[in-house]
Amino acid sequence: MDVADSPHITCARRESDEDLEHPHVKQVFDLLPWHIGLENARWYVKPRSTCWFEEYLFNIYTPDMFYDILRMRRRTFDRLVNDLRPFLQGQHTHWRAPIGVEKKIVVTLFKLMHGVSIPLVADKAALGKSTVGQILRQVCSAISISLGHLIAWPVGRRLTRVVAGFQSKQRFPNCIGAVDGSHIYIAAPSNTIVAADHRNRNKSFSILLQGVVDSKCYFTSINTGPPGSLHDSAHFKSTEMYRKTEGG
Amino acid sequence: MGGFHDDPLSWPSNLPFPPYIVADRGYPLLSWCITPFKMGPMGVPLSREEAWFNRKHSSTRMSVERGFGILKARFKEIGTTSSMKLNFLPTVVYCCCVIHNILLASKDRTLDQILIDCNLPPIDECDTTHRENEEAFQPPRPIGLVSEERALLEGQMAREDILDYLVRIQSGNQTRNTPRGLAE
Repeated sequence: MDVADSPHITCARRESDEDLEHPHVKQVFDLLPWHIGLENARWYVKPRSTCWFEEYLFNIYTPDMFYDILRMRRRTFDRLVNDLRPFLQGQHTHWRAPIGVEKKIVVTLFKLMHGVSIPLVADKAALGKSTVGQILRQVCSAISISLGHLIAWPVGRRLTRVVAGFQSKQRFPNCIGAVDGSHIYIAAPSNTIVAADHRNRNKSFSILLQGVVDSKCYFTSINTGPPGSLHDSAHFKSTEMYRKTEGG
Repeated sequence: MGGFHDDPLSWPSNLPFPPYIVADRGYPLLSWCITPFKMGPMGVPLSREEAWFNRKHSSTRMSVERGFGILKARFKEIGTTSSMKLNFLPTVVYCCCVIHNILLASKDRTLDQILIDCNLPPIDECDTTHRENEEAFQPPRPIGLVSEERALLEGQMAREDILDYLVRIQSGNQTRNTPRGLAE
């Protein structure tokens, strides 16, 4: 069977202009290969199935299935989309329609939550592999810049609540957080010097994550990035928190 | 990188001590960073109050272990060996922590359900699940820095204050109900 005959396929192909009338073809075909001099190109947009994202995920999946995929309820997802829309909205040009904000966030969450490889995400979302990489960088930067205020040191009424939380559970008076370090494991860097830096005491390769957590497991301060060979106390002394209080 | 805007030593005056954070024994002891008691130089054992303090301290510190456990179970990208580029990974980790905070605040699932999903102990049991024997660690000696020595001294004084307070609270409760740690 020809690819263009099956439903739920989006593609642009040189020989078959009539396929563009298919209801599931969502792309805008103002520009085709033979318009820009690529007479020998087989595909301008490779054939990919868009039905998972556009039909299944939002319309057919039950709330539990949606939760299993994105690890959040639909309500939370919609709020996240609304918060990030100003930072991720693409421009409508006469070339083609931009990738939607929902799709960008679904791609990022799918990658982060499940840790799958980029080709698999690209296949799920009917995008190119390098497009997925670009989206990941764009969305992660947008979240860490625009929503970074959600990781904040407890002050005011929140400070009182955190102190009360620690006090009621373990009877530690006036505690406002617990600090610890953790390793984020990485593949061995190809550069030998960089690899030697990132080799930790468990003889694997990692970067460090130091977090301060309040009584309800909310992060209140984060520092990431130093290589895994750095000791916890040295990492602690390099943080902004330590320098602001001890460094004068 | 980190949302740290204010001076952590500013605190409302209705609290008995200045606020502090708890840390394990790999961290420096400061007036605002309290670590557990260590054994003396010649293997002098801890006193009963100090051992009891360490147990309570350890159960307080479980919240950060739980936080990292939830984070790494929820985000497989940073929980397993990550395939991200090294210069981009810190942004990804920061982004994951932000989403972690959003998901905790949104009450999608209660905290206990998340803990069950992640095979972590529920909060009520965390008193008994602390790690008994951590890896022995000798911190590097401060090299003649007066300010570090003074910070250590201040930290020891703050820790003694907290221990005194806890013992006082515990002995005050002793008449009403059976204390858990000091009674045996």
